[in-house]
Amino acid sequence: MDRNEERALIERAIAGERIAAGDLIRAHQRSVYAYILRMSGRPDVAEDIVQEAFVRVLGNLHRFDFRFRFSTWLFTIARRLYMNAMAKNKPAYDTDFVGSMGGKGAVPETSMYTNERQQVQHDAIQSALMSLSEEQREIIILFHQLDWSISLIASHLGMPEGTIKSHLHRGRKRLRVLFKDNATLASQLEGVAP
Amino acid sequence: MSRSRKDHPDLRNEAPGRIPESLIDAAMDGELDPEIQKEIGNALQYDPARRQELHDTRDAINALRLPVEMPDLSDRVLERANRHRRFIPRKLRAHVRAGRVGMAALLLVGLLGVASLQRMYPRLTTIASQQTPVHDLENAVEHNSAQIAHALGCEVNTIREKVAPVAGFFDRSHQYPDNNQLNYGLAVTTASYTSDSQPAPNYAYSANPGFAVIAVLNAREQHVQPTRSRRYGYLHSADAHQLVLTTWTVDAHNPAVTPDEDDVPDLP
Repeated sequence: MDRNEERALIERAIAGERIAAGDLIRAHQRSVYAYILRMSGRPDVAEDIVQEAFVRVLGNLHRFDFRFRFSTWLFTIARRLYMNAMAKNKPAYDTDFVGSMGGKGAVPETSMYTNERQQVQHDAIQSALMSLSEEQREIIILFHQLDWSISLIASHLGMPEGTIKSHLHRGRKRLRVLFKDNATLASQLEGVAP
Repeated sequence: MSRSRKDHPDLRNEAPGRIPESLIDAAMDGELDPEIQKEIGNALQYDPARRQELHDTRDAINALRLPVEMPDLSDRVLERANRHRRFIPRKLRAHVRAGRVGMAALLLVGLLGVASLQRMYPRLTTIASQQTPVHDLENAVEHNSAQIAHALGCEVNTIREKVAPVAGFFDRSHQYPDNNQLNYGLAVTTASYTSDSQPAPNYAYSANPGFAVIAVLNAREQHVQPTRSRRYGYLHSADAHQLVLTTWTVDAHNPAVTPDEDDVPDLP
């Protein structure tokens, strides 16, 4: 969705069109859900925060400044909610869920082998992410999963670009090692090629 | 077992012929020109360790990009959002807005009306309890005082009527024939005169020479009896224990009241 389409959708939602509001949610829910899920490792936390973020966004849609990106605004709200939730009660990493979320339906027409392999990779990457520091994890997710630029991440997190790069490089190096170890271990346990 | 200098991870990265890790990072950050990236790709053929690292990094990033399964939250979000701010058509929203503005204007007009009324009729529109003006209080006190004074006056008259029949018993002017100035007085008081060592009540009569009878109301009977045995004066319960009479002689040359100790006849 380009920015003009998005703007039209937002204006219709501000005018009270429920369908437009629904389209706006569907256009962005997956990315913000993935962001919070990767950050927390908890699908229940991710669902709650995404819902709350959208409720707040829709309640304040008339205040949205069209000079900025809608997704940035949404992610800022979601991130703040996540940080508040973390401050109140740090959610434990849900390994059972990660083991069962292996992309069912996400990649259609896949064989059992592919599904199992993806499941191993899901487990391995989530475990590796949870071993990173909070800053490294968030920057890796925003940069490599959501394709945000370094300058955008820097403004989103309120850090200098050099600090963002430093976190990114160290986190990526660590993620590589952890992911490889986890994937190898998981595939050995489950008998699936990594 | 100590590591050799050559095996140290930092030094391995800087070994001759190896592609610097910072260059790989810059390429992955998308900060290099496509031409330089292509050269790095060629150089990687001769650096298998770095190529493996890059391969592993790509695997991790690809795993990160695997789609995440999630439920559609739009209906739930809209339902929750609807509780806070209903989704209604644009025209209807305009009516709602106009209605809100109208209600606000009405409220404002009402408040202005109340303010105007309050200015014109302060006591009419004041909801809180008002302070009583001083002149009201004054009138109330005067009214009460008049009532009390009237009631007291009635009581005093009643007492005087009761005392009047016994007043004649104390007429002793015949015992003082040489003193034409002797006269007789009767005083009525409600003061409690309970002790014979107490000074006599200070009456206006006492300044006049003669024989004074003082009626002390509410004197206690148990106190009257021992006092009677003394000669300071005579106390008698004329009307049960409610009224006690005592006699005093007032000397013309010494107007201070002194008890009549010597020659006081018994009371009837």
